[in-house]
Amino acid sequence: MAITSLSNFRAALARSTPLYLSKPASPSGTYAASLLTPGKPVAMVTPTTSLARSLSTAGSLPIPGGALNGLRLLQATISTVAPGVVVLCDLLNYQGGLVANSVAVQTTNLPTAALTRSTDGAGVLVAVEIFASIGSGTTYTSTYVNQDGATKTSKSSQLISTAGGVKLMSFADGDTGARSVTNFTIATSTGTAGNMGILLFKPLVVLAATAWGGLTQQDAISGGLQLETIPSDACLFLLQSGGRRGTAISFNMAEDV
Amino acid sequence: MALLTNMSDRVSAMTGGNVQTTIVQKRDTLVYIVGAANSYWAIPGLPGAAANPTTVTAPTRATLGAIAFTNPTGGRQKWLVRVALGAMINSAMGTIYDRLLHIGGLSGTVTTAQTVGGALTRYTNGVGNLAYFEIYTDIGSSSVTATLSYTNDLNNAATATIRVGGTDIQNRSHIAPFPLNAGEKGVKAVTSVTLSSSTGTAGDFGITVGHPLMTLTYGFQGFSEERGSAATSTINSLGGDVEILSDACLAMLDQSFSSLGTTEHYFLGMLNMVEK
Repeated sequence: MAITSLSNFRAALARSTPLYLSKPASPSGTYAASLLTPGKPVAMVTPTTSLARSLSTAGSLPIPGGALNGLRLLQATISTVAPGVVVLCDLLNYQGGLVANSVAVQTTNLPTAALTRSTDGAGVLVAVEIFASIGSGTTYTSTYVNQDGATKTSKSSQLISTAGGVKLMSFADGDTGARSVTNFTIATSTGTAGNMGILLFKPLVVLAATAWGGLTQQDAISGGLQLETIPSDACLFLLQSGGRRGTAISFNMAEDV
Repeated sequence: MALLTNMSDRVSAMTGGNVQTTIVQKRDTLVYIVGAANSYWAIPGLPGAAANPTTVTAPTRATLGAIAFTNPTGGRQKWLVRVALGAMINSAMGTIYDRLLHIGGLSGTVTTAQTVGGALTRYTNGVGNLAYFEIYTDIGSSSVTATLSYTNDLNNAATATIRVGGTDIQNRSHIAPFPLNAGEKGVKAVTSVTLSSSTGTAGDFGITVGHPLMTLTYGFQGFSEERGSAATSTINSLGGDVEILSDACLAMLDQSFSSLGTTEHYFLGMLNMVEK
């Protein structure tokens, strides 16, 4: 249902539910996910078996579930230690147990479980997250099922060694997303097994935190926020660029009426 | 033209269906020179890496490398209302543009006129169009003058020059616009490009004609590991509505003002579009 006027938007904002996320830190020089960082919401458990994730997963941002007419993100107020980009994402699938000291094809906890939202895979991105530090200087490829159900091999993507770091996988040319990941292979051993995992997620909103240690507020007026509809059972988390950023965000969401 | 006439119109368009969100993501190790721009046309990611052009063609949204969107239907028009992205480079300016025409396979060692030709299929009057020197494989290290012979929006033959090679642009993905002459509003057709002397290496370069749609700035972070972010909308930038023509070949370039050298760069962003 459309919000048909500016006054209706303001009324929706007035009745919106503020949701708070606060995470104290993340690693430097890389994209990082908020999933395993303590704070509010609590840290997720480091994943092992591939599981589809939802609003009920501990560590998900507790949005009001079950909205009948669609839940919209109306406004975001962001405070970060340093400027950067903050991407609100829906975590679809999370697994772990991959290692960085073997060049064999890895299928531990793979293939990933079937998606329960965005099931066609279009716009679903794949990333590798480092749970326990690995050595440096290697790349990886994955076999995955694309948005059309075809099995593809990713382009080679570099891994970051720092725990907490996230690297996006590069799809084969022409692909727009993935339904699942089948296996994972590193090019050279880093000498340290560490622990890595694969997350499948859908970016929902890209927010720019433009102030040093200050507030950035974005809505449909200031910042041109797109008034995204949030899936009512979404497992929301943040993907951030850069580092050293304690982050606190207030999201204002409201159900269409 | 069905402009988004006021804030109520805009809010309604953003929530009334026919909205589209497109994710862009690119990653590669590229050479960054202060003030030189990098094209992401042939860089892997979302959208996928385009094949380097050979003969002159007019790409469309169906061309591999174009940012995905669907053409508007029902008599509506498509409007780009917001671009937001996080970039792993500091202090830069990004540009979303409609890639109208391109040719590759030109040589950095040929000093006679190299033919471009072709015909535009969008923005055919030339207004707002720029011609770019785009490098697909490194050319040589000798700095030379590239002279573009073109037809401007006034239907007059004209020339423009830039320096290429040397400490100017010479590496894969580097791209530089030719300046317009006084009184011109754009490029309607390109006849040829001529190098004043050999750059020393043939490489592979081409000429691209593009129509810039929206620019955005990446913040300066102050630390090498901190990265830029940007969010530009037609509201907070006080710009006008940006129409995306049917079949537009949307692409992106950015221009860093930091001395980054050879570095891995990746960005993740989103384009928000509505129809009216």
